[in-house]
Amino acid sequence: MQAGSQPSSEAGPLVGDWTKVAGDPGTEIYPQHVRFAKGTYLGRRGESQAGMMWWDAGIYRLERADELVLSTANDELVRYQVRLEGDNLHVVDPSGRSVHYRRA
Amino acid sequence: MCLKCQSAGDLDDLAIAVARPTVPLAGPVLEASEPGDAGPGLPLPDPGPLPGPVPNPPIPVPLPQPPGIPLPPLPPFPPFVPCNLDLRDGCWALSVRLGTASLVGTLRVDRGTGHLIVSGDLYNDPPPVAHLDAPGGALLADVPPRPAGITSTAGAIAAAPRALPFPFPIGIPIYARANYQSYLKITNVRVPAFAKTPAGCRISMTAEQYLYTQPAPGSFQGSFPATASRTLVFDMAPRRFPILFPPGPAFSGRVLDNGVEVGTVSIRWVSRFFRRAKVEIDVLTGSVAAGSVPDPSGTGTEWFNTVFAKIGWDLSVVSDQTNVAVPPNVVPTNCWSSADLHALMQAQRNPSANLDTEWYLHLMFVPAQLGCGRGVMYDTIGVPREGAASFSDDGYPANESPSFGTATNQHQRDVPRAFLRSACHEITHGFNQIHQEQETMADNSIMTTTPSVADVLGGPTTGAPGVFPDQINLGHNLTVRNHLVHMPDPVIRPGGWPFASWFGGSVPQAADRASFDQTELTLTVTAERDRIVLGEPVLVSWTLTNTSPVALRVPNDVSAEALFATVHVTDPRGTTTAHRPVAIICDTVSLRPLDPGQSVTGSMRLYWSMAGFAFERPGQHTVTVVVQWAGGGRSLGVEASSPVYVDFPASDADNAAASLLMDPEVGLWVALGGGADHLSEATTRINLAAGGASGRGDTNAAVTATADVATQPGTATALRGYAPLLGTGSGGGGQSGGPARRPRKRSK
Repeated sequence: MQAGSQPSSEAGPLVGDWTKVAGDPGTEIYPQHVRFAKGTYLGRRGESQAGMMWWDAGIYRLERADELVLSTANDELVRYQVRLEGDNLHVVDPSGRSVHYRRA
Repeated sequence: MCLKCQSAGDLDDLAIAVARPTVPLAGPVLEASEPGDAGPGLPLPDPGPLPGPVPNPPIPVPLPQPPGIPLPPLPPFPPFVPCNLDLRDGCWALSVRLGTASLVGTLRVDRGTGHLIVSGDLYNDPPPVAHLDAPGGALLADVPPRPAGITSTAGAIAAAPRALPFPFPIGIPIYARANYQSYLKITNVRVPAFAKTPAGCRISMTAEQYLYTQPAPGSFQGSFPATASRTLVFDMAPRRFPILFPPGPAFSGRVLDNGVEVGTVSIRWVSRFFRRAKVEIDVLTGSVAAGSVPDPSGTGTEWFNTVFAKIGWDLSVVSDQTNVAVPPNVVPTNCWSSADLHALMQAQRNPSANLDTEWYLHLMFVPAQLGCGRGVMYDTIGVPREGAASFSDDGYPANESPSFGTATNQHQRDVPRAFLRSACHEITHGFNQIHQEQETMADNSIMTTTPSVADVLGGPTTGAPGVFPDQINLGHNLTVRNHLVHMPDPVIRPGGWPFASWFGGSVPQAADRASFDQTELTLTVTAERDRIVLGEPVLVSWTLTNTSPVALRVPNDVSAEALFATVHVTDPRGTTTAHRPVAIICDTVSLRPLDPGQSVTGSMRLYWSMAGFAFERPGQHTVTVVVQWAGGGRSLGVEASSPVYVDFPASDADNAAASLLMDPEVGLWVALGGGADHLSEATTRINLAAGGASGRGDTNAAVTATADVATQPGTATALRGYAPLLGTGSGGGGQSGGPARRPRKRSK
């Protein structure tokens, strides 16, 4: 069970455009490009990406500096371990797969 | 007007951008006897009423005959008979016998989008008791499977989960998932209006059959082949029953495979709906369910059943339990985990729910709180898509969209229309539909996420105050609508394929045209401005390019006037209107080979047509161009879209200009390419908007505004859209910046 937190009205550290630069096998479900707005995100496929994007459109927030909560393709809120290092965002999904985004 | 071309009024394409998963989309059904030809791709006319009566010719007067010699019989007149074949829209119970195999299912006849789309699903069914297995007889590929331990037909009958239906089941039949056998994509339908003899009054359907491979034990996703397993023809005559029961028309006849009779077929109309399902609603203590809301016309209400009725689904809603006890160790006002919701569903759902006899979805309302996502289709656990949840105390946080309007930071329970929309969104996820931001584009429809809908509608600074939630469209867009009506049963029904597993895979779906792959033929659409103001025309251009390595036969002229291309505008409310040019020029149009890398282009100055103004209100619009033609007995086509945002007037000058220019005669002046100075009301208004007339008393019939004036600082912004149509200072007339016809242009 997850406790929800009041969404921040300030632009967070993830706001902006990100491009996937690396990922473990199985992370093809994450979009090549992600745009984080203040409280929502939008995934966009890369040219060679044809399958279902599990991050397609929805809400997100950083519950902690190392935890991203994001609504996925079926609107489920999922927790991801994250590490933000400058313009690099490292994500580990609940299955333990890592994906690396870089700020565009 | 070209005699070979259909008039503009016959084209009623409502296509909206469709991202095609690898679902084989059935080509358009040609509801006629002509094979595909070079004519523009046309929507199929509704059979509609028969033509008027043939005028009576003079009655021949027989010559006097000697007494005792009988008069020769007169030849039959008229020399044909009306057929009155009623292939009405809706669901038809389908029965097919192929050898010893008995197949049953449904056929959906759908003209709801302006085209005829027919799809069907077949299930193995135990044959009647009279057809017992012959000892040692070989089993055909279509022999129905038996439950484990059952080998005889009689055993299969006895082991059936329900009693065999009365020969005429009432309503839309539903069959067990494990018996699913194949999907039917109907690619051609012939429904003659007249025939030489009554025996010629027969319906013919060409059906591509996609045989289904059932999922492995423990799995829920089977598979379809990428191409049809075989193509059958259903050749049927009307069935007449001596009594009124069953209600509705029926046809029966033979099944042909490559011209050889291989079985029998019968169809019987059972419902005006295409599919049916049931939603059970339970409400947790402290929560409320989404209620009905007034419909925009003010004459009725909208609720789950009416929302789905719009797309031809018979959705029965059972409001079951309220004040369901909170499960132990759950804080109901927190965000819920999928596991907790799934457990709650299993505990609360009606235990008689049987996914093999009903398409049954459970919808749970729980409180939650702001920031939980408003709802979830949580069931990716075990049996797929049994339930969804909606959060009454979640809502519309300001950080998710600046366009929530009066709903900002409110709870869903206090914003009924948005609450209902959000709950319908989760139900539709339950029927395996995905977010439109991923599949097509964000729009004002149910499967776009809530913040995106708000952004599409705009807010207090970009649109009329109160656009969200008041102008929420409680409807599905065309893409989702067609999925829900025509995707195969296993993909859609609860307990079938896992969520989104169809996307990017091989799933057949009947549709109104066969689409090209991006590596074959592409269409790009560009608006000269993606942001305009009220009263401003905008030039939209499109380019059809052969991206394949071979020459493709495509229309040699894709201008709007040539009728192969149609332009549609979807407004912020989700309403789509087709806009056609006032002139039709198609005498030289034909299909010609387009070499690899070459292109043909078309354009249209979009502002007004006989359908009205293209941009009637501020907000996000989508311009979709469809290029469609017939070839090889099918309709082929490509489509693409471009967004256009319409701003509110930002100054008194813009406001005044909009009120002057949003006039049908001004619209006609634009549609004629400018220079139509005989339209005095139009010229007066344009001159006034440009400040070139002293007032309505100015009787100068010609447009005196010039392109230079139109683009001067301080001039109303809308006039920049008129600049290409205005003269350069010599007064009157105007160059045709948006020519009525653009000649074909080939480019590398």
